[in-house]
Amino acid sequence: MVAIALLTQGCKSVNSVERAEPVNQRQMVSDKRIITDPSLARKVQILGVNEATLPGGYLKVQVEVRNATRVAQDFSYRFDWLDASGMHLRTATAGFIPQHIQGAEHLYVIGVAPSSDAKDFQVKFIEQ
Amino acid sequence: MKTTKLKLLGCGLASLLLIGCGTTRTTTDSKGPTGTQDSVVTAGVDPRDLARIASEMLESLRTKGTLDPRDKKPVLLGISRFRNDTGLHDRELNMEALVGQIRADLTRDGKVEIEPFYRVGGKPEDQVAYDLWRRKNFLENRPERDPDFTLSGTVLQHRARQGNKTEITYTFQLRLISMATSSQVWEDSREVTKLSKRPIF
Repeated sequence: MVAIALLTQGCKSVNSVERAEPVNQRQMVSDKRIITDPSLARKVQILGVNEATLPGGYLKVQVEVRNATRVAQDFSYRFDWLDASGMHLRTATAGFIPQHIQGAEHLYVIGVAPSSDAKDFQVKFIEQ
Repeated sequence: MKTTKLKLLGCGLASLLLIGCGTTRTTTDSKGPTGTQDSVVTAGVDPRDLARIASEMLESLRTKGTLDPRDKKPVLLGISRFRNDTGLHDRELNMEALVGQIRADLTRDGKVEIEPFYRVGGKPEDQVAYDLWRRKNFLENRPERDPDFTLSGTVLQHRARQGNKTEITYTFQLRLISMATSSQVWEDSREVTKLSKRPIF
């Protein structure tokens, strides 16, 4: 009984609804993934990366992730920004940011470059 | 046989009591633990929470584009008052750390400059520079340049309690006021929610 109760408590997944034919046009980025934690990659999957340039010249990057399990997961992410020469730009807000994702939920992890010099990015994910 | 069963039962009860009687108060973020495995989570506002708030507020500001220079001249931003309306002491809720992170990233590419003589709480950050600047302005009869925008904020706290659980929500509200139009041109808010559980015994 206790085991069943515990199991059912953990399985809260998200139902969602959206436009059948989205009107937005995402500028998808061809990405390269380096997986060192297969457990996290299995649970929290990266579906795609798209980018946009804001009017001030700042790069805005959005990573769509999906919880492939039916239980809530916690992870942290961090955006690293690189200039046109590939040099890392140190920022004041560069720490790992905690994120909670419900079972089967899709969510967007968003980062805006701290400087208009940023031309490239890396997004790092770590399990909690 | 009976004695063995009794011993086992006794051991089980003792271990249950030991687990239940822990005196340490555990705190987790109600939206998941803050930070990675080694970080400390408190019922207050952690540096990681401030980093998240700063990062998301910057993202909101950049997306709105209000602080983008119109005529290639850097925008001058005045840092105004940040009010702490929570039960936390100013040392526990370090608003200067939050503002400092936002300021550092805003000024990174030179499109925004910070009015240097006012800071959180309204006092000049560098008193010597401030006095020299005032003297120079007076001697040269130079008009002072007002900031184009001012940034201010408030942090509120809401506490909900049920049984041995306490949920505390800190709401960070930041706003930008244009000096040209005397109107609020941007506002955003973010929340940090902490769930605290006290041991029953």
